[in-house]
Order: sequence, then C-alpha cells, then structure tokens
Amino acid sequence: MALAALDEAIAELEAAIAAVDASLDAELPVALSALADDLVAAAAALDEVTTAYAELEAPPTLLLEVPEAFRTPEADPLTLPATSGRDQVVLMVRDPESIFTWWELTASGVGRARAEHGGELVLRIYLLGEEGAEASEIRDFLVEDWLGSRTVVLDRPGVRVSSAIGFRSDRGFVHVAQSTAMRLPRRGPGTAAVRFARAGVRSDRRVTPMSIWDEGEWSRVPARDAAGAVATHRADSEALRDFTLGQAVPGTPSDLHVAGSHHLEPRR
Amino acid sequence: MSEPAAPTGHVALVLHHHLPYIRHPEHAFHLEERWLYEAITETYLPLIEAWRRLEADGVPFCFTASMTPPLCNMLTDELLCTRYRNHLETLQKLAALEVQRTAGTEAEGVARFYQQRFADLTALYHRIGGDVVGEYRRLMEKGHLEIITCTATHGFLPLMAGDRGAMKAQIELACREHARFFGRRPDGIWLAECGYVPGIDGLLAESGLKYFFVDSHGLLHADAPPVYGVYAPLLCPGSHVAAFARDPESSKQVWSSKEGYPGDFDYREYYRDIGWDLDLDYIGPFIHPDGIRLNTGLKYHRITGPTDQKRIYDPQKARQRADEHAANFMFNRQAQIRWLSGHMDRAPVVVSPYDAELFGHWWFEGPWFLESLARHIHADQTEIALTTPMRVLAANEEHQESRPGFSSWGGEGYASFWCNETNDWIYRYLIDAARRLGDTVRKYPKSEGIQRRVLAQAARELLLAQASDWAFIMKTGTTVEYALMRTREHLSAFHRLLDGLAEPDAAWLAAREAHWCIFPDLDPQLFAG
Repeated sequence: MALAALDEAIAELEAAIAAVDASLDAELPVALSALADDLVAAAAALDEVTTAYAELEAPPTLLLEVPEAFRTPEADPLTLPATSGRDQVVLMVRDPESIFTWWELTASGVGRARAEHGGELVLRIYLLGEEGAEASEIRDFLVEDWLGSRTVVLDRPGVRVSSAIGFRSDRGFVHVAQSTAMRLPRRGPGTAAVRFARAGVRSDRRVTPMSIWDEGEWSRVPARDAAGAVATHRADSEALRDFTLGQAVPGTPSDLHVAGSHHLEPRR
Repeated sequence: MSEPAAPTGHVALVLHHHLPYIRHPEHAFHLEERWLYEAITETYLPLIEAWRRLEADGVPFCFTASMTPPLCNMLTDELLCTRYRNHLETLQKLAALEVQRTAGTEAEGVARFYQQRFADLTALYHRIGGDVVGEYRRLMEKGHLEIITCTATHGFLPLMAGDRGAMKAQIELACREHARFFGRRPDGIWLAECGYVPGIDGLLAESGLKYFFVDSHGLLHADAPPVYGVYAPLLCPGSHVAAFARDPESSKQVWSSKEGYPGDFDYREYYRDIGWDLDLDYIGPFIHPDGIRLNTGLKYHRITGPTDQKRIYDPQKARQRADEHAANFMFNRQAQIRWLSGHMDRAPVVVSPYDAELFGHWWFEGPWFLESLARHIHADQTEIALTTPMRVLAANEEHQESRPGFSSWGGEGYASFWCNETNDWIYRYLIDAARRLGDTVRKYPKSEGIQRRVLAQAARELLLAQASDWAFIMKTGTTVEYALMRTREHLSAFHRLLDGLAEPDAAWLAAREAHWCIFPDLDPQLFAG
C-alpha cells in the first residue's frame, strides 16, 4: 500500500516536472528575450548618458578670444589655460554707457543647475537701484558657450549694474554665477552737498584732516579761519565750469558739454 | 624793502615719464628696446640739460615729474646702460659721416648741429655717471623737481575688476620702488592713464600717498559739483587724498596736433628720418642688422606745411620759435589766471600734465620750450608762478571734499580704449592670474627659499603682463605682435611657475629671473590684498 502510494506520488511529481519543463520550453525564450531587450535598452541609455557626460566634460569651444587678425604661429593661444575651473562671471565698466562682461562655467555647475531647473542658458544683466533695492530692469541675452564674453551697451549712466549667467525657463531664472555690482560713471556732477575740509601738511609731510564742516549754500560755504572767524568760500562755479567745458580737448568725452545736475542738497 | 606780491595764480607742469619694461638680452639688437635709447637721447638728457642750465643761471623753477618703476628699472639696468653707451657712440659715428656726406649742401649745417648735439649729450651722460635717475634725484633734492611714482608697471586700475590684491600690489610696490630709487616714499602718484575709479583713493592713502591726478571730467563729475572747477584740488572723503585735474586749455595748446605749438612749420619734422630716406648701402650699418629701416634720430627737415616738399630744418630759428611759444604760453596762462582769479576766492592752480616723451622725442624743441617758459615766468612778470601739488596742499588749508568720478585721460575718457574688440580678451587671463596669485600667496604666507623665489617671479610676470601699454598697442595697431607676445609670454610663464610650485624647475626659474629682473625686492605677499 505504501509502495503504491509512493509510486503515485512519483508519478504526480513526474507529471509536475513535465508540466514545468513544458512551461519553461514555452516561456524562457520570451523572458530571456525580454531581458536581452532590457539589457540593450540599458546599454543604449548608458551610451546616451556617457555621451552626454562626455559633452559636459568637453572643453568649451572658445578657448581664447584672440582676434583672428592677430593670431600668429608664435601666439599659440593654447599656451594659456583655457579655464580657471570655477563658475564665474566678471563685469567691468567701460564707460558711462557700456560694460564688458565675461563668464566661465564648469560641467558640475551647469549639470547642477540643469538638473534643478533646466531651461536655456542666458547672460542676465541687472540694472540695480540703490543698495538693497530690487533690480529696476533686467536684460537677458541667450548664450551658447560656457566660456564667453560680451560688451553690452546699457545707455544708463550712473546706474549700478551686475551680471549673472544661468538658466531661464518658465519656472524663472537660476544663476550659476553672479558678478559683484559696479556703478557706471555719471555724465555730470553728482548731487552731494558741498563740504570743505581743513587739511594741513605736517612736518612729516603727511596731509592730515584737521576739521571738516559742511554747509549747503551753493558756492558760498561758510568756514572758519585759523582765528575762528567765519570765512566764506566764494566762487562763480558755473562760470568756472563753463570756462573749462568751453576749452574741452580731444580725448575728453564727446558730450562733456552736456551740463549735469547742479542741484545741491544742504546738509543742515 | 617790501615783499614781492604773491602771484595771482599758479601753474603746475607735470611731466609723466614712462616706457614699458623692455629688455632683451637674448637679442644683440632689439627694435623695441630702442624706445629707451631714443627717449634718453631725445627727452631725458635734453630735459636734464635744460634744467642744469636753469640751475646754473639761478633761475628758480619747479616741475612735477612722474617716473614709473619700469622706466627707473631700465635706466639703472647695467645691460641697457651698456647698450645705450654703444648707441650714443653709433650716433656720433653717423653724425660724423653725415657731416662729410652733406658737405657743401644746404643740410651741412644741420649735420654739424647733430654732431655737436650728440657730443654734448654724450658728455652730459658721462658727467652724470650714466645715472639719469640719480640726476633726477639730485634735482629733486634741490627742490627743482617733485618726483612722484606711477602704478608699478603702468597697470590700469579701473580694469582690475576691483581685485584689491592686484591694485594694492600695483600701488604699494610702486611706492617701495620709488623709495629704492629716490631715497623716500613718494607724496603723489600718477595713476596710469589717469585711470581712477571711486575707492582707489583709499588704497592710495594706505600707501601714504597724498595726491593723484585725474582728467578734467573726473573732477567736474565728482560726487559734489566742484566749487572751483578744475582749478583747485578736491580732497577725497575719508581718505583725504587730494585729486588734481588737468586743465583743458593749456593741454590743448601743447597737445593739439592742429592748434598746438608742436605743429609750427619751423619745428623739426618727425616723420622724415635718414633711416628711411637714404640708400641701404650707406645707412645699413646704422639700422637693424636685418636691413629693417628705423628712425636714426637724424632728421633734416622742418614741418614746412601740409606738403611733401619739406624744407631744411633750421635749429636756431626753431629754438627762437620755442622761446616765442613759451612766452605765448605764459601770456595765455596770465590771461587765464587773471580771469579765473576774478571768479575764485583763492589763487587758481592750472595743472598742465603731459607725457614727458612729447618733449624732445615727438616735439624736438619741447625741452627748449620748457626752459624758456621757466625763464620767462621768472624774469618777465610776477602774476603767475610755477608750483607743485605738495606746495599747493601746503599753501591752502581748506579744500573742497568730494570724490572724483570714474575717468581716464585716454580716448573717450573712460576705460574703453583699453577694453574693446582688439584687446578685451586679455582681461579674463589677467584677472584670473591675479586671483590665482592672491590665493597662492595666502596659502603660503611664510614662503622662503626657492618657493618664495617662484612666487616673486610669478608676481613679476603678472605685473609685466598687466602693463596698460600692451592693450594700448593692440588698440593703436602698431607693433601689435610684440604686445601680444609679451602678454602671452608673461601669462604663460606665470602659470608654469605656479604649476611647478611644489617641485620648481630651478634652472628655468633662474633664467626667468635673469631675463625679467625688474623689482629685485618684490614681496609676493603684496598680492594677498
């Protein structure tokens, strides 16, 4: 009896194995094939990632902006390092109207900003208000190179300005690097109050401030002489200025003749 | 006997002496190195000659002279001085040949003039022991010259992107070099190209400087309107460093190519030189060994007029014209100061700055003009007097306090002449290099031995690359390849030095030190900011 039961169990087991074998014969190729497809897809994805990464690491296209006309066999631009290895944007003031700004981006800086934000690479110029105030105006320039430069005409004498390089999308702007703020020169005098300082030359030849006072009345600034008596500084400043401007020489700004503000704000 | 009346106003003549540091021991004959030899022969020795004559005649005079560190280093360099002596000998030989060649012609008198002139200059050079800087120092100690410095390699500070270390190094190193050459730190500084940005005055004060110069619009566009226009200095708030501004009127009379004195038809024509005019067979030994023509310094013609048919130069007549022009310049300053003093409660100061090399090199008669001007001012009137900035600061205790505006004396008046499509690419490299050096010296604050030498040489290379001359040349389009070569070479050497800081190439370092031996006492920590 026990033997008969054992034979039956063996038969069932053989039937089960046969069923499994049959199932494997039918499904394994499909599974393997699917696995192979997955592997191919994974390899392709890996290639894509590798290519993308290689692009990230590739040196920027602008190694050195030596004007073509000045290139000589001796002046091999590659003798200078193409990059400093940091994300940076630097702004320099050229004149009351324009700035020169240059930037350099690294693979990690771009990768981080792209992953977080995406969008297109832009050079952003902020025209700033006074210290702490929001930017009064923003100007964006699409750029392609990770290493580049640009002269930007702003036509806003006296304004504070900074530049940034980063990614712009419909979610906003994320900068990779930002310059320090610089102020463009004015095209005329400022509006600070007229102040006079008393300075003397000591025996050691140092010019040293002795006292400072300020008064606001234009071209008539009361002061005190050595004896303490009130003195008065008098000058026909407007005539002096006009005299100077009337003799402007080549090399001075072309619009030097445009008078600036002459407003003075009395300090007390 | 009553005291002589105080003058109504003053004229401060400022002569900016500068040449970029050019020294090529690897070449027996180097074209750009000749700039120094020409300047010594045509400007520095003739100026010394004029000042010595004034001194001998008891004529009181005072001029301000900015002497840049590169120029002082070159004027005291043994190799360059030896080469200059050879240059003088060559000039004398050429002049002697010219006397023979021109015998019996209209030009003979001019040839004889050059022969005598080169003999006189050679005698003067030997009399001062070949020490031009020492002679300037002597004139300073006598009170005839107020000598000031300039940024260390004529670096243009507005384009240093606010890098405190880079700007500080240019200023403080210049003061230390000045003390090395003149025995005391300077009172004033000529900012290269008059390049000023608000805030720089603070760095000047840190180095003990008391004044600097700006172009007219620098003062006119100050934070507060200048009460006295450009005819009195401003004191910068906080730093109390004084800013003096250029007077446009007197500048125009000398600088202007159309209306200026140097264009007078009796003056020597700069652009006609026997180095270009005579046959190569004859002039060959006196030009570049490769046959490249150059200016020899012997020029036989006067400007004559707007024509190619130039007439023969008459030195005596030209000298007379220089004297007349000096009298005219004085007359105009008298009239100007008379008018100004009617509108001011103090004696106006007319500041007239010029490149020293204008006098003698470009305007051959310039040193005679300056000498005559000092004589006329002394002998012919009492209304105006020569002065210097320190005398002005000492005389007037009260000064308006305001900060000048960003400005330079270059084309357009700001920074665009040194930052445009021809040269703006250099700033990326200059600014990065300055940052790299600043980071490195902060990392090695107590470097010594060969490591310190590497840092010092790297600083030298960077300073030489920062000279505004290279960007200027790239813009003007003359000898551009040389400017490119110098910029590239110094930056390239800079990085090679710092790349090898851990294991320096001692032989290569020694070679760089021997070649570019400016600033022997350079402390690289100046770049730490």
